[in-house]
Amino acid sequence: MTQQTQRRYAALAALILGATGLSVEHPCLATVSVPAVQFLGVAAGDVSAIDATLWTRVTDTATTGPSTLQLAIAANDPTLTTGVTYLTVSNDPAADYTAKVNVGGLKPGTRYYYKFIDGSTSSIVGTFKTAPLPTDRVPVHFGFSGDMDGQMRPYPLAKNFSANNFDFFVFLGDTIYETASGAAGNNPSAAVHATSSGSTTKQQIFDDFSRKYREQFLPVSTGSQNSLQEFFAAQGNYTLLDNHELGNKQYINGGAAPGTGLGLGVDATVTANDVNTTGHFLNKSVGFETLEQVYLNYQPIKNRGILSVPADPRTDGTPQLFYAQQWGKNAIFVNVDDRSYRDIRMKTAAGADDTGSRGGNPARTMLGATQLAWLEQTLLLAQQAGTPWKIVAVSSPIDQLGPIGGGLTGLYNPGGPTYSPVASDGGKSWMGQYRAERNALLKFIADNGIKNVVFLTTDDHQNRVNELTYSPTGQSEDQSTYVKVPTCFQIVDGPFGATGPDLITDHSFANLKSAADSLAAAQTTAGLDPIGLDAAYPGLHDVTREGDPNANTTRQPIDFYSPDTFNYTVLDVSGDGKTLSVTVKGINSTAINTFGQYDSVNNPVREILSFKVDAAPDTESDILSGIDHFILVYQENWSFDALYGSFPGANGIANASAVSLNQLDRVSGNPISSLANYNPASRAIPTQNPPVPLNGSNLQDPRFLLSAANLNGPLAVGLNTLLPYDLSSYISASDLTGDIVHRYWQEALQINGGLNNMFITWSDNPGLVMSHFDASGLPEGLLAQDYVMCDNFFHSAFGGSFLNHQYLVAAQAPVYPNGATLLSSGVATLTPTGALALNHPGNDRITHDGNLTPIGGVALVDPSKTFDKNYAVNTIFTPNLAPTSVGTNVSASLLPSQNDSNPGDTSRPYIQTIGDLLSQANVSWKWYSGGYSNALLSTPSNPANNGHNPAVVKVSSLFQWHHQAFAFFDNYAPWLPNGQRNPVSAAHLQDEDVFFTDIANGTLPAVSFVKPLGPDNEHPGYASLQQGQQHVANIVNAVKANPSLWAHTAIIITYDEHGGRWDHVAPPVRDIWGPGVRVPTIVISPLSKTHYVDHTQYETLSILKTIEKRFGLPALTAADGGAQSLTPAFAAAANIPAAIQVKQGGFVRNRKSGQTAQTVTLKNTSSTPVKGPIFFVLDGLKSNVSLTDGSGCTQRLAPLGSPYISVPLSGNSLAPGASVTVTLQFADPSQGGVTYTGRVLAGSTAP
Amino acid sequence: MFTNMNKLTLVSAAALLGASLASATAAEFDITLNTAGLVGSLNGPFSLDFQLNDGSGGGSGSNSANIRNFNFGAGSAVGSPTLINGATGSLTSSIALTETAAYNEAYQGFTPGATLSFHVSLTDNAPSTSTPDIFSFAILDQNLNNLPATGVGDSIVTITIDPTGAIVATGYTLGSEHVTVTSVVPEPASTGAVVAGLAGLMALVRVIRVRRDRR
Repeated sequence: MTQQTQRRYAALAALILGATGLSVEHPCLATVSVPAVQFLGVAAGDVSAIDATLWTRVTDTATTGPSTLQLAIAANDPTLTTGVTYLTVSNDPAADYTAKVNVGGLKPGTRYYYKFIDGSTSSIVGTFKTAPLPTDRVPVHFGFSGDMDGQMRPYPLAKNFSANNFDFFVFLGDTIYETASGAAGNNPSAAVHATSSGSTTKQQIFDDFSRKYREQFLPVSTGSQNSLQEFFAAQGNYTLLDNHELGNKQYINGGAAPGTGLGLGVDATVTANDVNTTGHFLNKSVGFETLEQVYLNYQPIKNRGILSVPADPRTDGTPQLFYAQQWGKNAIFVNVDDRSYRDIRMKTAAGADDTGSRGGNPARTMLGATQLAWLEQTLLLAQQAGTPWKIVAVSSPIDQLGPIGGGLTGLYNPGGPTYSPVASDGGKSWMGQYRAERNALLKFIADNGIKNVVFLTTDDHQNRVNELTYSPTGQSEDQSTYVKVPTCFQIVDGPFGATGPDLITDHSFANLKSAADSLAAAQTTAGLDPIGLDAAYPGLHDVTREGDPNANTTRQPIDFYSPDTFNYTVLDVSGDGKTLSVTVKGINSTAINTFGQYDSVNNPVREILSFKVDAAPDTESDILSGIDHFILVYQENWSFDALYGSFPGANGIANASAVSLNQLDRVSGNPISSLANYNPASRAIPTQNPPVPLNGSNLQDPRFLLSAANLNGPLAVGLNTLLPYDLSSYISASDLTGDIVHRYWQEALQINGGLNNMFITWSDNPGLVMSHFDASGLPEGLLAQDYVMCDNFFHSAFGGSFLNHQYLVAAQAPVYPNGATLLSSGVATLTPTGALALNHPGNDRITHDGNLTPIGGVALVDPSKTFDKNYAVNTIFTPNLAPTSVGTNVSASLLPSQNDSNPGDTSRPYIQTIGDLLSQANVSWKWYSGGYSNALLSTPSNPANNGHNPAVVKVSSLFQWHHQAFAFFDNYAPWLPNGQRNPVSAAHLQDEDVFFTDIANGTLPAVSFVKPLGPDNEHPGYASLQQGQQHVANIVNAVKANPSLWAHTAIIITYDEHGGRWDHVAPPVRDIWGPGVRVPTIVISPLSKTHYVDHTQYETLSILKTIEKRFGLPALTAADGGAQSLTPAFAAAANIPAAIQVKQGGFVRNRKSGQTAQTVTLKNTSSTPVKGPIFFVLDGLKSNVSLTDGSGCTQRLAPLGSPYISVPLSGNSLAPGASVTVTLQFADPSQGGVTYTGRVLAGSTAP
Repeated sequence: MFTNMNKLTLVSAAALLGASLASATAAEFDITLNTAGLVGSLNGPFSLDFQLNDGSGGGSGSNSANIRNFNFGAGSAVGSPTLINGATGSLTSSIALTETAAYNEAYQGFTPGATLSFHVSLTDNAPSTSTPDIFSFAILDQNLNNLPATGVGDSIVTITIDPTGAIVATGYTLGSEHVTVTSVVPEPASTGAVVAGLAGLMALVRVIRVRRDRR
């Protein structure tokens, strides 16, 4: 008989007999043991968008071995009858019969119900909700508390807890108390063995603490509340480890030295132990690991594996308990482990916490280096991704309550002599003994502009809300340097049920107010910021406090303070992410070991205090929010001065310094102008000084000579190629010129640390380096005059198209694994300082240029750094789309496909692209390339061509294979390894012809990269500037021809690099890769500023940053993460349409004026004033119709932009709820009717 | 005739009901003006001008208006109408306007009496664009220029059909001629979808005075 069959019979017998848990004689069977199956409870936790950890504990008197259970789970059905999935799980006798399972494949943003089944016995039904997708802007509703001391069982607050309907609950530690033992009448529970005795065994610890967790589910009397059983079943939890789970002795300091003997640790009074440098840690001691394991057995915590961080032995080899969970677009929850890695809790000789100068030791840590770096990066990425609310749960309070190293004195005591008001920052707190690390964390938040960080803490057995202060200068011991961390605060909550508040029996408002006022006054006296949120806290509103009817108008300390209650805090993030509502709910505290049940009449759960905070806006994301389509047109090879050195209002050639105009010789260091001859053997090809520009055949270009007939003759009269000169005197913008070297090392050498005076000497066409056109009147220049010209924009990587295209898509240099062996000829020869080596003594030519960096080679820009890999920095092609010139796709001269497909591939670095990020976020995108369809037919990579060039090569000779940046990556290789066309590549990499079709069809993706074919890309050596400029204008016109598309599109035109031409502005230094020389960038959009020269410092990665900000994507690397987005180029506060409701009236023709009139009413529907001026812009106004007047307002017509009116305001803002109506007048001579798309702008800049 | 209290109630009701009403068969209005100020005016002869214009800027044909039951007091209709695009009829019988083009208009001369009244039936099909369809009424002078009025485009009465299907009717005042709209009355059959309001202090005073006179 199987065990299950046995149970079925047993259950039948039990049913017949009406009894369970008995042994009976069955008339037909031998003796049947009726199993007493008993579930302790259920719990869910660590829920993500797709998985959850579910827990139960079940015992069966029929066996001491494991029980096989069924887990029933269903979405949205609390009765578990519809759509139920059953999973088989088992409990683990070695884990005290607990069972834990991680369930995957769940739907995001969905409520699930579940129960465990053992034979005929079912557990209670639990529920949890999965996290919404990170892109979903949805409300978030959650709670938190901590500190559940068994002496307060059965925790009346837990009764009917499911009524909260939380998305999740943060159980902030002290989930049990080892001290809840041995007290008289405590439903008797034996005292635990001391964890610090040195003689307590592992088994004793395991048994004692397992019992403590079990007790949390048990009633204190027959039939009464099952303590926390309802609480655990009510929602998914995120749980933190704190001191009582670890026995509240030495094990609470997981990062401290273990000392000798079980749980003894080391002497906390000895300063040598303040920072553990022994290399041995309590977190790997038997006692700690046993306590941690019991905790993990009993809490619904996901197994996240063991950390492997060899460089951080404090962390290496420990279970990972810290993590972050994005909860929709509006919030991220960050769970911090502040016990596993902290240094020792220091004591004075008298046994008190030592919070003096030892507490400011900068080497002491609470989180450990690994976790601290992770926490900072997580917050930074959340800010960069546009997540408004960052919720950080950490058990230990991080605010400052008392003076550094001391305590407040003379406080009013609301609980009488038996109560001690919390009046100092104790040995467990950040301020008490981990001040320097605290300061570093808060400084990081402030320095990086990370907004709306809310710390959830507990441990102090009181509820208070407090702002956080820190020392921006890092002087954590100097109180006078402390300032507030902007838009950051802490909520201390709890206890859910623990000692402290029970000693305050006078719950009158007056008594509590006296305590709060006394505390705040003492803090002020000590030079501290008093508790609570200041009345001026940004966005604070709707403050309520039980007993204080004036809380919202006259805020006072008691409005943020509750020391006398058992409580939990409810947090609600609004669906639009703009507001966080905080509500503290609680009951009056009760005395220990009185075992009071919930009293809904005399002590009901009630709101103690509440307030709301509006999120400090992420200005960048908000401004960009109106842009639904980005189009990047990526042109070729001009520096800013070379095209727009005379652009009106821009930083042009006239501002060039004498240093940058005095070009030096790279060998002698003398001005080239001072040299009698320009030595062609040592440098390049020219034969004269000043050098003559060379043509595409490396011959002196006769167009620049005095006489075209005399190719050896002098330069044209008045032409000095050592200084900036205007090409238009010699050639037209429709002509070609020669190309100029523009490679990784050469460009860095040309810039010469920002002096910009080595451009000619490192060039292979020195006579052309200083040449320029004035493109201000060419098609792109004219567009730039109407919209935004960026005159401080640098291309992101030194060198040519290859590396800059790679930076555009991946923000880093690609890698050739083992390149030094496989392509040894590709490795450049460098000097000890990182420059290209020269044959010196000799002919002073470059010894060996290359396209790969030498491993160990010194980086020129920062000689303290060396190349750790063979990075590909100059043009190299990919086997995924090999050029016809290669003739085979297996050559070592090709760069191996870059790995964006497999993070686990250790043979190739994992390099993600912006395409990967966009796809992961379901943001549509394409790379459109001129000539691409023919390139696919012609490449030897096409399986149809069998590795060779086809008989008829269709691709244009000016198709540039190294410009196809995405094709270098696994995910976008045109063909799969099996020879099939890669559907992902086909979906994203398309011909430029499709771009125009997509515009016309309204199917343009959110992000379009447009790479015109050679003749259209402005590359000076093979393309006409005029043709390329007109091609770009055609793109702009095509977009404008689709008004609904144009209204929400931003077109960005930039150049991949400088093409070897000089520019006078010193590039900034980001890292060893760049950025390089300044290039022109033009922003064209109905949402951009107009007639505007933007002097903000940008680089190519600013485009990625802009896309990332708009769509809430993380950064690819630190380089794009640190780049400035293009937000300043866009009109301020383009998000205002969300706040302003526009109501248009109908069109009425006035026979007298012959005009069509229309009223437009703008109403501020938000709760805050909209700052003026406010503009109403009419995009896409029907042709033949013009806006002739706006009654009562100033109206202007942008020459080529959309007409708009300036909305009249009383004062300089539109008050909440206020509206203003204007009347528009249109001339509609054909009487064909008026159409347009209205748009509102507000802020300081005119459209 | 509705009382002031009723008017406020209606405004509130419309705010609630408007959004749920995507379409209604018709809205009915009785419109009354005090035109005594036009009698003997040197600006005459005058014309009445009616428009029904399409919010889409094209000619959706979605809505139509019928204007009838003209009562000129001691005055009368004069001459023949000018009909533009989707307009038919005349002041002697009725005028029909259909949104066959962006602008649909009829105007015809009249001799004013002390009062002028007429009835408007308006279909209520929500336009597909954010710009409402609009019925407007104006008075033209001897040069066929609008008499200056406070409504949009010098209109005296506008009735808009907004994208939610809600109808808002508003009366305005004429300036120099002291003509006031004394009532824009939605008929009971369509009150659920209709808001009627009077803009301008003069209009409101006049309404109140008329009502008192009737007590």
